[in-house]
Amino acid sequence: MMPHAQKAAIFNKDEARTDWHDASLWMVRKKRDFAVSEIPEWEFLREFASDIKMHTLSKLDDYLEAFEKAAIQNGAIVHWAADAKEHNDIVLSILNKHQAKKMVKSKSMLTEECHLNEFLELHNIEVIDSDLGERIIQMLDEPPSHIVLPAIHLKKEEIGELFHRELHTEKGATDPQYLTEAARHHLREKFHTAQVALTGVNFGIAETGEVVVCTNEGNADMGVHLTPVQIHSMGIEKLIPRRSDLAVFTRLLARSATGQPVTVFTSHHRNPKPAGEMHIILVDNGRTEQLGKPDFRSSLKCIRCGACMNTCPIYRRSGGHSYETTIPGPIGSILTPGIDLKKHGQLPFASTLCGSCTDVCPVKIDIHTQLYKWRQIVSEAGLPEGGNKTMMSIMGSGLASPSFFHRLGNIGRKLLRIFPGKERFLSFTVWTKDRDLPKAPVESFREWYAKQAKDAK
Amino acid sequence: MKVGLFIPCYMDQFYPQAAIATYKLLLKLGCDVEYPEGQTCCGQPLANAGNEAASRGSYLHFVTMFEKYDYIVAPSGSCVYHVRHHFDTLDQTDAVKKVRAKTLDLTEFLLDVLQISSLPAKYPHKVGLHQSCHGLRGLHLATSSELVNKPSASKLHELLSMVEGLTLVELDRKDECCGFGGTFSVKEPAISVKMGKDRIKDHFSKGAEVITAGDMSCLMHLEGIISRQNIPIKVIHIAEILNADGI
Amino acid sequence: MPSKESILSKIKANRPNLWPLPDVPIFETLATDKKTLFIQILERGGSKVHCIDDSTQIHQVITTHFPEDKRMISTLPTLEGIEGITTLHPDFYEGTEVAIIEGLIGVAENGALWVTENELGNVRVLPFIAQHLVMVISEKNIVGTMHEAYKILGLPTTAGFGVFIAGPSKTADIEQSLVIGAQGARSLLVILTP
Ligand code: SF4
Repeated sequence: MMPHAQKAAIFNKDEARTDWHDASLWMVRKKRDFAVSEIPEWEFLREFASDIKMHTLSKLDDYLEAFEKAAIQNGAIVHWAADAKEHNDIVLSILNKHQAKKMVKSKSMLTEECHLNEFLELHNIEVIDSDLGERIIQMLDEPPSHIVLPAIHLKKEEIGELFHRELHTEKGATDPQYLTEAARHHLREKFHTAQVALTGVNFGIAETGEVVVCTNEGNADMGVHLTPVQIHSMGIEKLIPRRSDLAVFTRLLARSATGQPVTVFTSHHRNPKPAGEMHIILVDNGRTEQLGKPDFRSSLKCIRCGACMNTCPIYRRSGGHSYETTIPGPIGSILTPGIDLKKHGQLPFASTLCGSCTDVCPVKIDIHTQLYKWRQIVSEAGLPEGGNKTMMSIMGSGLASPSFFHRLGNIGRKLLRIFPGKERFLSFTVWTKDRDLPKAPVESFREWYAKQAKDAK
Repeated sequence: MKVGLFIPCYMDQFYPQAAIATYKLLLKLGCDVEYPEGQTCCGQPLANAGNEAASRGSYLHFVTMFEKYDYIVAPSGSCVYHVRHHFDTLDQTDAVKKVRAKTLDLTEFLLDVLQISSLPAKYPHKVGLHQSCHGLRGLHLATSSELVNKPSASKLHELLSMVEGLTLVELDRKDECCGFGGTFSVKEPAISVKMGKDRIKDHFSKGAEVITAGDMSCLMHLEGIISRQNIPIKVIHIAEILNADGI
Repeated sequence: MPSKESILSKIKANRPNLWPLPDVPIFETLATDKKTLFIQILERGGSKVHCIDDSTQIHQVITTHFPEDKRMISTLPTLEGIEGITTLHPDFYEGTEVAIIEGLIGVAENGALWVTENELGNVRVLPFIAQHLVMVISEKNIVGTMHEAYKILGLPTTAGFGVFIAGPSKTADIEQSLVIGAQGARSLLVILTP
């Protein structure tokens, strides 16, 4: 795996493209700001959302059982999956039961996390992602680079070329309207021929057993209502207690995500359609473990709005793929170290700890504080990102000792006086590749202070 | 009221003029201010790099050095944030509690403790204000742009408005991070530099002659890029402006 | 151990102490004129709104907006001469040019209209599969915010499916440029009755 810094450096080689990527996402952030400005009680809503989620987490077992009971009463079939493999096996068994070979799928970060598509394709199932952005990256065989805007890293010329190849659109055509129309025709056919539809879940409601799915394109509903079998894959943290809690979350979600006042479709699925079948798969896959970490459990409040990505100055300038995780950006950097510390332990360092993510997050996850805390764990574990522990502890004692400290500082400054500007020496080489070092003054503040104190006497 | 002055290590060595301005400004405003010479570092650089455990010694040293003061003032929101927020890993003795509560950034000390409403300062220049993140979102020295519906307030703006002759420029992105981030600046140099470049461009294109901030570390990073690229803009710590006499 | 039991027991072992569940107040909109806000937000989201003062005018409004002789499906009991629901088979409705349905609640703050499968003649796919969608709603049923809407909705009793629809289907997945008419209806016309 290539370190984030290296991927980011490659991304930054094309500065014009970096600027374009940054500007696209900043525009989304600005739309969010405007949408938020229309709700005077916004900060209260964040507080309520956070509390509702924390409450649910504190009784998650009870709520899951209540949810299951209600869902079964509604006529749904509820499955429990401990991990990705079990989830995928359940999906496959449902497909097999119906001898289905074709499945349409709407956006679901959970199935990305489980690598469901690859798994089903191995079993000769055709999976069609029906969200436009998802369909684009599926055709390109790439993972999404953003949880809400999966193809945000692509230019329309690239999509035009892809569609020319795959959907026989005119060569050189790049008009989004035209390309979207082509995808519409292509997907309509798929909706009518698939036997099973799978969706992600934005919210599961414990008191009613409903699953709520939010989309703009209407693709999830096209799939669910046209196929006889519907499957909803849901992370166990997606529960909320009451139907009325949706008021809080629907107000927060779309405004945070894209700056719309609400998603175009907010669908509440309670029972199967006549002669249809409805499955709900409740998935753990590491969530219960995260729940057991007091410093990090609040990351489970996440409603996957993507706002922390749009606001993150690093994400905007390195792209989602640089994180090499299903969920990139700030939230990904606090979720994934808990899954595989060795692999993702570098991500908490891909941040300046500026805190913008924390202030933008609609459910008030203290993302940047958790990044800081992950750093401690990474270095405790002796991973290279945390620095050399022995060196660090020597440095630490040095910093606690005035005489050592002053000598060190003075030596540093004097070296700088001898080798000013662009000279590359010591470990300053990284700093000085594109930055000069500060000009070292003749005397330090300490020296100045001592002198003037003496003069005053 | 006795004030202990804390000067971050890199400021002591590389930006003494900003530290001197802080000291002189406090004197000018009638404070009994002292720089305890045994001081070292607040421990932030190591801790942010993931080595909180190794910085315990410097935390304790900081507390010993400063517990006798009524207030501890530093011209650095970042160090102040570290003391206030991350010294929570120490045993919370009375001394630790006192030091944490009484350590203030220069700008909040001026406005909240001294409650000044005017300054004898003159600085006839076009200035761009960089809101350093730790001061902004950590110490709430200003309302961050994400908190759209909170009444907008900014201590740095308030202080700069007291300076005669100074014009502030309007930025496109009023509080985006400069990309320094301590350890980040050398772990992720490509993005760090790109973020710095983008900030400088925003200030420069709005006609700023000078970029100021409450944290010298951000400015050191920006200055490094400015100097390398020969951009005709300068950086200056806010204390130097607040202490300026117009020359 | 079956996964259900193992997941539940892990949660029991790992969950935090009980966190209180807040009572969320019914935040109301500050707008004095909900109808105007509702129309404004709908139009901002790419919908058209037509106000009439008598529900006998619905037919007329529809033919003005859709003059061509194309397939229309209506679930409104009052609309004579327009095809109704004849089968529950969803594929049958492919090729519907215009679907005309009733909205139960309109939400001013976001332009969303609530409809359940009862108003869809149990053809859940209808508002999605049609090329164009017409929703008829009485202005008496406009509320300010989502809180008010969910308060009226309460818990579901009969309907197994319900949806808030806030405009035509749309996407911005190609370079963030807004395209109206992604997979669902290409336009939404809201007819406001007294
Ligand atoms: S962490 Fe917060 S801001 Fe980021 S995706 Fe989750 S809910 Fe949205």
